[in-house]
Order: sequence, then C-alpha cells, then structure tokens
Amino acid sequence: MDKIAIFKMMLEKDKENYEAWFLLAEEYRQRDSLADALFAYAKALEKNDPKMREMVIRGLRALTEGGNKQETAEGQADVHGLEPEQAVSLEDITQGSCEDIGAVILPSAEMQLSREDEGLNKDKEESKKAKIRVLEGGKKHNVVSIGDYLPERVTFADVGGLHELKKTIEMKIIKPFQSPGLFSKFQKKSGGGILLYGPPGCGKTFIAQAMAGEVGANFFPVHISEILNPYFGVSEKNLHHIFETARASRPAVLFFDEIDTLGYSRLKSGSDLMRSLVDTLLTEMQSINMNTDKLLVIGATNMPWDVDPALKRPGRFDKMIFVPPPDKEARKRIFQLKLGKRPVAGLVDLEVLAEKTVHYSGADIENIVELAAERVIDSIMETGVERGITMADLLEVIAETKPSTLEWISIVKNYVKYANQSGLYNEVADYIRKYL
Amino acid sequence: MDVTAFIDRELAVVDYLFSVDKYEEAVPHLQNILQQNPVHPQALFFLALVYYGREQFEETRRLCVDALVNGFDKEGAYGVIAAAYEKEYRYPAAEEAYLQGLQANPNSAVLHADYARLMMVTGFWDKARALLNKAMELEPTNQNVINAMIDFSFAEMDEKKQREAIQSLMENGSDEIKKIVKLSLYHHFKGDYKQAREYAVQAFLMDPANRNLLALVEGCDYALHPLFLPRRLIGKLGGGAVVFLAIFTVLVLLAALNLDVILAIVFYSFVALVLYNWMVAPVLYHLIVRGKDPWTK
Amino acid sequence: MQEIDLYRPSLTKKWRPVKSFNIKSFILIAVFGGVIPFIILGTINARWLRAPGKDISLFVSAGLLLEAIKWLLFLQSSHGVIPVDYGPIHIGYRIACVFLFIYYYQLMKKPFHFYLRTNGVTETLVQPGVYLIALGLLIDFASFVFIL
Repeated sequence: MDKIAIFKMMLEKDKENYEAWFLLAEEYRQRDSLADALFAYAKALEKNDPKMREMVIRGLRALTEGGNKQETAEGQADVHGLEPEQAVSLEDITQGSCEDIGAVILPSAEMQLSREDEGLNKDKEESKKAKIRVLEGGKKHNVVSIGDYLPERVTFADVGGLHELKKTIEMKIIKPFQSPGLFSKFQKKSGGGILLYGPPGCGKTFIAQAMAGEVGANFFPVHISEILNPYFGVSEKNLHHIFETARASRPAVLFFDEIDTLGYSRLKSGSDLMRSLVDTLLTEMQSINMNTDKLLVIGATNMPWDVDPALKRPGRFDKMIFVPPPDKEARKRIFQLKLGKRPVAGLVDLEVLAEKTVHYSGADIENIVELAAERVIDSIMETGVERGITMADLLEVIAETKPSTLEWISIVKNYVKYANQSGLYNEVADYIRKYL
Repeated sequence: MDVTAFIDRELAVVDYLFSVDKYEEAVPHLQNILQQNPVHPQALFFLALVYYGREQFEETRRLCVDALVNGFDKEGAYGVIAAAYEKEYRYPAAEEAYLQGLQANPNSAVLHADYARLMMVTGFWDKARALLNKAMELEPTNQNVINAMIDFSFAEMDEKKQREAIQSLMENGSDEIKKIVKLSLYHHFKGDYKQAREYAVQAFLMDPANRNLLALVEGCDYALHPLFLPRRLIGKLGGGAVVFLAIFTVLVLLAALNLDVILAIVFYSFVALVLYNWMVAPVLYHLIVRGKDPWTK
Repeated sequence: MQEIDLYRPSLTKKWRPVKSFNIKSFILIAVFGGVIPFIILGTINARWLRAPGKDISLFVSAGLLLEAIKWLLFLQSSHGVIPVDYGPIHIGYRIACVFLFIYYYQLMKKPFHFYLRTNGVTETLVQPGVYLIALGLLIDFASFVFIL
C-alpha cells in the first residue's frame, strides 16, 4: 500500500495523530510536494510538544536545503543537457559503469571514493580521466521508516520479572520464529497464532510488543474500530486488508487486543455481522497456517472462554499462553517506574511494596500510586505544607485496596474445577495451586 | 469524513459491541456520537442500556425518555423503562410503562411477553397466561416470547407445555447458552439432576463468569451427592410430608399394638433420619466438598 | 371463565406483593400446634398467594369442624358419655391435623409452586411458627384445664 495512503488512513481515524501528520509531511517532502508537506508540518506543529517542534524544524530545514540542492543539481544537469534523474548514484559507480559515468562527470570534479578496493578502475589514465564528484540529489533517503519516529523497540529486557513466562515464550515462539529451518525440518511451523490470556491489566499488550521486539518484526496492533464498517461486506474486507498489509511487511506481528470481541463465540451470539467476521478471521488464520513464515498473529484476552472454540483449534490460535499477574520482581519494577516521575519523600522500600502487593496487576499498582499521589495533594491543600509521596501513604493505600485479579482468578478457578478435561487451562491451574 | 458517515461508522461499532455483550467497551464510541449529535436517539438508547447494565436505573430511564423525545422506537424504550422499574421492585410504575408501550405498539410480542413476566411475578397468573397467549399469537418464533413461555410452563408445572416450548426454542433460538440452560432447568424440575448437571456444566463452560450458572451446577452437585441419598428417596416416595404421615401412622399403630420396643426403634430411627437429613448431611457435605476442593488445600 | 382485560392496570393501590412461607413446613405447625395455629397461618399464606376465596373458606371450615369435633369428644369423654380416654382422642386429633395439612397442601400446591418458580424465595417460618405452636399448646392446655 502507498505510504501516503496509509498515513492518510491513520489520520482519517484520528485527526489528532500528530506523529502521522509528521510522517505524512516527511513523505511529501521526499516526493517534493512542497505545499502538501508544509501543510502537514503545520498540522504536526499543532501538537504542543517541544520534541515534535524540533523534529518539524529539522524537517523544514531539510525541505529548504533539499530544495536548494535540488535546484543546484537541476541547474548543473541542465548545463549538460541532462535530466536530474539521470544523475547517477554512488551505487552505480561502484558497479563500474564508467562509460555511463563519463556522461555525467564534470570536468572539474574529483572522485572521492574512500576505499581503494571499491573495484573501480585503478588504471591511472582512467583515474586521471575520471576525477569525478557525485552529485547529491534531493532524495538522500528514499525511504521514510516509521521506526525512526516510533518509540524505541520494546524487548523482553524491558519486561521486569516474569522469567518463567518469558522462557516459555522464547521456547514456544521466538526460537521457532528466529530459526525456522530446524523446525521446518521436523515439519513444525514457526509462525501462526498465539493467544495470550490472563487477568486484566497484567501487561498482555506489552508482552506482545516485546515479543515483536524480540523477533525483530513489524508490530501491527489492530483495534476493532479499524475493522467495523456499517456497509455490507466492508468490515470483512477491512479485516482481509489488515492481514494483507501484515503479510506484505513480513516479518510481522499482527496483534489483536481483546480478541474475544472480534472472535466472539458464535455459540453465544446470533449477530450476522459477528458471525461473518469470525468466519473471515478463521479463513485468514487458516491461510497463515499454510503460509506461516515470519508472520505471527497474537490475540490477547481476559476472557478466553468467550473466544470462538474454532479459533482455539490447531492451525489458528493453537498456542495458549497464560500471562499471570506480575511477580515480585515485576511489581518492584512497576513501582519504580510509576514512582520515578513523582516527588517521593524519605525512603521508599520497593521490596516491601512488592511484598505487600501479591496478585496486584500492573494497573492496580498504577492505581495505588495514583491514589497515594491524590492523598498527598489533598494533604498539601489542607495543610499548605508541600511534601512528597511517602512509604506510609503507599502502605495505607495498599491496605485499603484489593487486587482486581482475584475476581478473574475466582472465575477461572471454577472453570478449571468443572471442566479442564482438555487441559486447556493447565497453566492457570498450576498458577492457582502454586500461589493461592 | 462527514458527520453522518462518522456517526454511522461509530454506530456500527456500537452495534457490534452490543451483539457480543461488550457494553462498557461501547461507551467511548457512544460518547463520540453524542459529541457530534447530543440528541441522537439510538445512541441515547444504547447508552441507557449501558446504564441498565451498571444497575443505574434512574439514569437508564432518563436516557430512555430522552431517546423517546427524540423519536426513538417506543417499543424498545418503554420496554427498558419498565424493566428498570422492575429491577427496583417498583412494579406499578413498570406496569404503567408496559401499558404505554403497548398503547403505542399494540402488536409488540416482546412487550406482551415482558408484561406477562411482570404479571407472573406479581401474582396475576391468569393475566400472565392470557398475555403470553397473545404474544404467541403475534410472534410465535420470537426467542423472548418462547423463553417467557418456557418459564411460565415451568411455573405451572405443565410438562406437556414445557416440552412444546423447549422444542420451539431449539428450533428458533439462536442463543445456545439459553437453550442449554432451559434444558438443564427442565431436567432439574423433573428431578433428573444428573442430566440437569450435564447441561448446566455445558452452559457454564460457555459463560463461566455467570454466577447463576455456577449456582445451577452446584445445586445439581448438591442434590446428586451420595450424602443426600435418603433425601432423594424421601422425595421419590412423595416428599417429607408423606413420609412423616406414614411414620406417624406406623407409630400410632405400634402404640395401639403395645409393641413398645419396636415403637421406640422406629421413633428414634425417624428422629435420627430427620436430624441426618436436615443437619448432619449438609454439614458433612460442606466439610467434604471443601476438603475435596483443590483450591482450598 | 371471566374475560381478562389485558390492557387495564392490575397493580392498583390495593395491590400487595405476592409472598409465601414454605407450605411444606406447615405440617409441623399442624402436628405440634394443632388446628387453630394452622388455620391462622394457612389463611394468611393463602391470601398472600391470592388463592380463591372459596378454597380458603373450605379450608377454614374443615379446620373449625375438626376443632369442634375434638372439643365435643373431649366433653363427652370428660362426662363419660363415650368410653374413650383423652389420649386416643388427642392422637386421633393430630392424625386428623395431618390430613387437614394434606388437604391444604393440595389446595395451595399450584399457586405455591407458581410463586416459588417465579419469585424463588420464601418467608422465614421460624418466628411465627414458634409463636403459633406455643399458642396451640396454650389452647390445648386451656382446653385440658377447662375440661377438668
């Protein structure tokens, strides 16, 4: 798909996506559409963010400089009766097409090649003759990578704790993905579908991002609103296009958050649209199974029982991975992150905090810090004495809150109790036995 | 994208999310619609349903009234207003809403069936029957109507009607869970707890977050436990009252025949049976089941 | 059968919510408390369940008849008109109470089950049951004293 079209699509969904405006501007700049580029830069500037301003300024500078260079190149090329497109690249030179080069070299030019072993003509005569300088065109970087502007790639190193989970994912997914040869030899597929399930707020999305980071793949998060359309058949087409785009950008990770929404059990709903979407999803997943290389489809859900059973069969989301509530190490890390940007008074013992927040999800911990901050603000308003968040504030909030994961665990507990004959939820059963 | 297209798109998302029971997830999309058009009747109605799910019934009714004022379908809006009153046990107000809805749409089978349910709960069983018959006349294949009919036949203990209604649900219903639950209840009321449990477990597996389904499974487990064998036997003999009467008669006869030793044995055995059934067995069950539960170890 | 107006409000100001005790437990009231407590509780419950007036009247009449027969037999026994002791009369009376319960249960079975399956909960019988059984025993004692 054309990049400009992609950015425009992104902006259609969210006009306040300033990063998309910026990328669009960059793309227009590369294509020399000055007016469009300026408009898009102006839109990107609407975000009141110094970083963005800096990037836009850099872009604008490049725009004017590129324009000047272009003008120079055009002028110079014109002198010799050539079109600017005919100005050759360094690559062409290194491939030794010196006859062609002869047509574009300037008499006064000096050839500046850093390495002698470039395979160029070492002939002295040739050397004398070909003292060339390569013209710099406006299109220095032909490709604008979204990765240049996106936040840094997340990997497992960014996920605190959860070593068991990381090890499982590495063995089940990352290794097969990275060395598919061994697996194909044994008729094992390296891509396919993975279903991450677990209590809400425990970082399933982050883990999926980290998985993509680990395998060095493009990450495509998909939201239901990107698929649904009121017109007949368009939603199914949108879903198909998403898979197409991901296939075209392999290695890629396609991430469906809340997969129980898109892949809701057809036994539980009579909605025609829902049924046809699940059918399309099944077809797409099936085709991935046939053509698995370097495409992972990850689904995440709090309610795996709501996902259509057909989606959990072999060939679709056939690997189910339980993402448990953060362990002690992870909780310490989350506290550290969440408290990092707030004023803290006295010693805050992360060890104790992590100890006292067993079964708390990442979102719960964030909430604890939020509540503690609110408490401190209230106290400052009352007393007029400014202070930071103390250990006592945090402990008080912890004493007043309960982990939100318990409800989920109680549901799944009964599920395992009454019907885990297929062993689908063995991981969660083990977790409950171990920690509850 | 123009406003109408935007609203249509958001409504499609909301419609979908409602069809998969994700009501809370629909809220941001509803807010998007209402930002563009604060009196969008369908969005107001959908939002009313969200508030109904949150058990905020006052707000539910307010939004339904807003939807009505802005031209929303009266059948749906009055139905939800009535249901919100019912949840607060304000039955006369609920009846008034149903009647207003029926006045606006006299051919609504769903409103007839829902009004019949209200009449069932409030003790007007003949009226409930008549309303259900009318609903069946209007739309015999409507799932809400069939479900209400099944519930009525369960309450009436009319097995023939139960079978007919369940058959109809199997043919016309699209919600598998509801079908299985009704089958489970059918067997439960018949005293066939084994079959009832099988269906209840099937339904529970599809919707483990549903506490009512868990209670149904546990109820079947309770009834099927060997500890309650005497209780089941008493049930098969005609119930506690019949057994009590029989034992009482036997005791009188034994007393009349001056068979004091046998009389004492029968009397104390009966007392022991009563104590076992109503006190010992439930306590033992609680202890054993808790002991067996792997999660309580 | 009377024609029902489906669209006329039924829940008027006179309407009271339908409710019920577990009528199976009334056997204890009948056996230990006797006819009077049973009639009191049975009538209240029948009215809660909107049982037809005719059924309630029949039940009350049967109960009163049984009570009257008991008193008659006690009086005749105390005056030596019939050669039967109080004991057998008392036992016979209790057995008759069980039959009265069966009659009541048959009358109320349908509305009670209807209520149970639509509302699901019954009122607790412990407190009124204890009071009424105590009342029954008091009546028994009074009758005994009176006859003596």
